[in-house]
Amino acid sequence: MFILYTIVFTLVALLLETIVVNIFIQQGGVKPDFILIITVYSGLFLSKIKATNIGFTLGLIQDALSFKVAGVNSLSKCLIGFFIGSLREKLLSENLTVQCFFTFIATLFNGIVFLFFSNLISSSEIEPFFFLKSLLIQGIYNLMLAPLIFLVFNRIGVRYENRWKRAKFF
Amino acid sequence: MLKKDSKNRHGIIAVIILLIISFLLLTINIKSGEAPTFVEPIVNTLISPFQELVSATISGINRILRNYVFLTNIQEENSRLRKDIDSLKFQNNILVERLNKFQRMEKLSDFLNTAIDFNFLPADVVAFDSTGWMKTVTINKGLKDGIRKNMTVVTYNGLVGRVVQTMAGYSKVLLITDPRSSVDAIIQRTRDRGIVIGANHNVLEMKYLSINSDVKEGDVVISSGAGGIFQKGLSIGVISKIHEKNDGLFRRVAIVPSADLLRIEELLVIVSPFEASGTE
Repeated sequence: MFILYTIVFTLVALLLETIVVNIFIQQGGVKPDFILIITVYSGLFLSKIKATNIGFTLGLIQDALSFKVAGVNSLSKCLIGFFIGSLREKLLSENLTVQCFFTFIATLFNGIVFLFFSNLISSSEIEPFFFLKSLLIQGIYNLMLAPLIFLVFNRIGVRYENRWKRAKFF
Repeated sequence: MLKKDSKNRHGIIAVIILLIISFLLLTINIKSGEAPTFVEPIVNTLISPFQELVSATISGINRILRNYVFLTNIQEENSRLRKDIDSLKFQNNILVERLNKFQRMEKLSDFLNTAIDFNFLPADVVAFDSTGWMKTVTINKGLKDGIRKNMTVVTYNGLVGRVVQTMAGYSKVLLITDPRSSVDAIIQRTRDRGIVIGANHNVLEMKYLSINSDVKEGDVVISSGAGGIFQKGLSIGVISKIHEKNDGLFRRVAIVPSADLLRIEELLVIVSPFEASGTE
């Protein structure tokens, strides 16, 4: 059941990311990163291993749906899942400030990893000042959406709590 | 306690394995150039039909709202007239370019009649880039429709980009706003050359433009045809800002793309003339 939910949420997130957001939400080419929000959620509310695996798998799919960035998102999201998952027991995951803080920091980390590796792979000329400005806007988008998405996931989680606790990913 | 230690060890081992896989993919990426890694065709084949379905549904709903709810007749007429204007702009641009070419050739008494006959294949955008940082779109035409890598993609307003990956039923198009894109270009009025590169937002930048160029805001920039990918005379955009002269040999200008690349829905792929061996 857990894997089925993961597949459905992934598909919905990808469709939102690649179609809906581009048509209705994005401003000046900046849009929220739903895959990152799911990874942060996995780190805060599931386990370290699940968060790492989910981050890697979703990042890999995200890379495949772009062009010539394979490995970049899988790397950054795998690390985000691992680090937030490692801190989970020391955090009050339900706290709104904690959720917003980690979503924002994860966005910055993801962006910097992306800038570094995409420049390395394709020697593209992304202007750092513009990129950082866009990154801050994306961070704000993400931290505004994350608590709402976490709330929805947790509502579903409570309903299937016992099944989720028993569930194993990979 | 032992169980917890073992769990921690498993976690670290999992991360190390996944990091190694990620680095391997990065290495393959650097080595393989523009060739897709094995993951890309699999994921795209699985996800693209869903994307096409959702995209078509949204477009359909938009169309219904536009056509039936909001002032049906005026909207339709407006839409038709807008398309006509776009189409005429496109033709006008090609004709201006032909005229310029004709005048230059006439002066040299060496006119060569090279009529440009483009054959277009219409395609719909089914998805945008998943990362948000790169500028690519997926279209619903692929190898089986005759789409090949490096084919030029346009709208009636101007140049959009080029095909970078083809699968059976879908293709990926690298937009000219992507930082990895570069187009050899000329300013239509002054005939000065430069390279137009993507700046990752909806403004392009023209580099390597001569410091002595008499460029003005509002000048139209077109593709030069050099490089073998983009055909000559396609409208790229209009100069919106000229950066101050500095001590270097070149100057930079900002260009607003002719095509609205943030809200593209239908595209045209130039299937001929096309040289498969072209690289830029």
